Amino acid sequence: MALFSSDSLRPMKPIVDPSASDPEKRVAALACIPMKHAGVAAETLESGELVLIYPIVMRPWLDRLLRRFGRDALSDQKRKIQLDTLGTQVWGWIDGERSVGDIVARFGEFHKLPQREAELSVTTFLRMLGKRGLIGLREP
Amino acid sequence: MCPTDATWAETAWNGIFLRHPASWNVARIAPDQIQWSDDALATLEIHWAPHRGAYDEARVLRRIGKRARRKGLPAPTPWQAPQTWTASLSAYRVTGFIWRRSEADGCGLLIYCPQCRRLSLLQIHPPLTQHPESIPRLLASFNDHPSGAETPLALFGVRAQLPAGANLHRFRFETGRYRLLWRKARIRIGLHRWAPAAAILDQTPLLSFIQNQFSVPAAGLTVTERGGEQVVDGIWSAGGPLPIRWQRFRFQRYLRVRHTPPHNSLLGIEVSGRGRGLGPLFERLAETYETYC
Repeated sequence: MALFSSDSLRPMKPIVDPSASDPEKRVAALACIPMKHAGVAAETLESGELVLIYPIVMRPWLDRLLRRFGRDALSDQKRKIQLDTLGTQVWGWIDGERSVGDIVARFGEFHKLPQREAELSVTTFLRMLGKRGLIGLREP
Repeated sequence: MCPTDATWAETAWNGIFLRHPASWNVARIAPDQIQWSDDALATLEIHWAPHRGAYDEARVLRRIGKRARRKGLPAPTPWQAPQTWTASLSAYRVTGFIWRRSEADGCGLLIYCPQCRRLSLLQIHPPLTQHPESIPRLLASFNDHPSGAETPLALFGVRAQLPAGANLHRFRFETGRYRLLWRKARIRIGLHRWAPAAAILDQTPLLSFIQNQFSVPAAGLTVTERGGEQVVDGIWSAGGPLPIRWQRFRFQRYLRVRHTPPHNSLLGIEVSGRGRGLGPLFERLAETYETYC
């Protein structure tokens, strides 16, 4: 995930629209509390890294269609994802009480990273977990 | 170069230097543009470019207005900037402008430097125009060309002194890795930063990591301990033996990677090319390149 790069240069804008960035959305997103999905199981490897085992989330109509055609529903199957050291650490900090902002601050402090870099790392990781249905976000 | 006030930070990028409130983050960056934001709200933006021909501020403003209207944005109109703002910019030709929107107004300055013939466009967005007390201090620190033989770099927690005249060739700021490349005549300069170092070195030994990143043989690398930091050095030369007076035509590559545990980062400096002064240039870069986060 690039913060900035010369590959993404855009032509110079004479006047930038300041309303393009929405600070309220960002503040609201950082205040949300990530919650682990109850159906996710975690296995610890010898290296200390985690493997998350989670059920495949599929749309109910597709699930019914597959069952009608005699196929085993995919929702009974499980998938695995292996987290690296940093992912394992962030996963461990998701306790249903800490907000995204708290996790970002802790991650930045622990690894001595600039605030923006820590924020981007953690939010990208949480977004990936959310897309797979491993976590949900609760409003405070 | 260090700011004296902890609530203020400095940004130096591609020849532009500015001190600003420490709460500001760089929101957008390009070789000729930098924008800061405070809590995701754009506060200040600078565009710069060399100006060709005689400088005429009215013509420049007209051109900006034309471009803005084409994009459906409000055109700027000339405006007299406060004396406190322009007092510190006496070496430059300064023209103020203002634009009005239905929801918010903004203002800006055209700053032309007769010495380096660079034209900078400063746009001051509403969050800052509503709290203008920091603007005079901010403008007092503005500098659009290096004063000495070196160009400072200070951005995203890394700082260095680059040789004047080095042109930015590529840059990439990724989470965990920064990669910046400059070119100066026949010399290529590369600065790298990886973080968090503890997590990287937990997976791979430092030497293997450097071999993978730079595609260099382990045989040419030497590991030393300097001031509590692990330092890996490498020097390579192309071709066979040459007489001393022809040595400067030989292609050389210098590499140094420092593991700085207090900042939990790995800093890499790479200089390659031909010509005299490659070694001292490399040493000077290595001396000044640091993290300050």
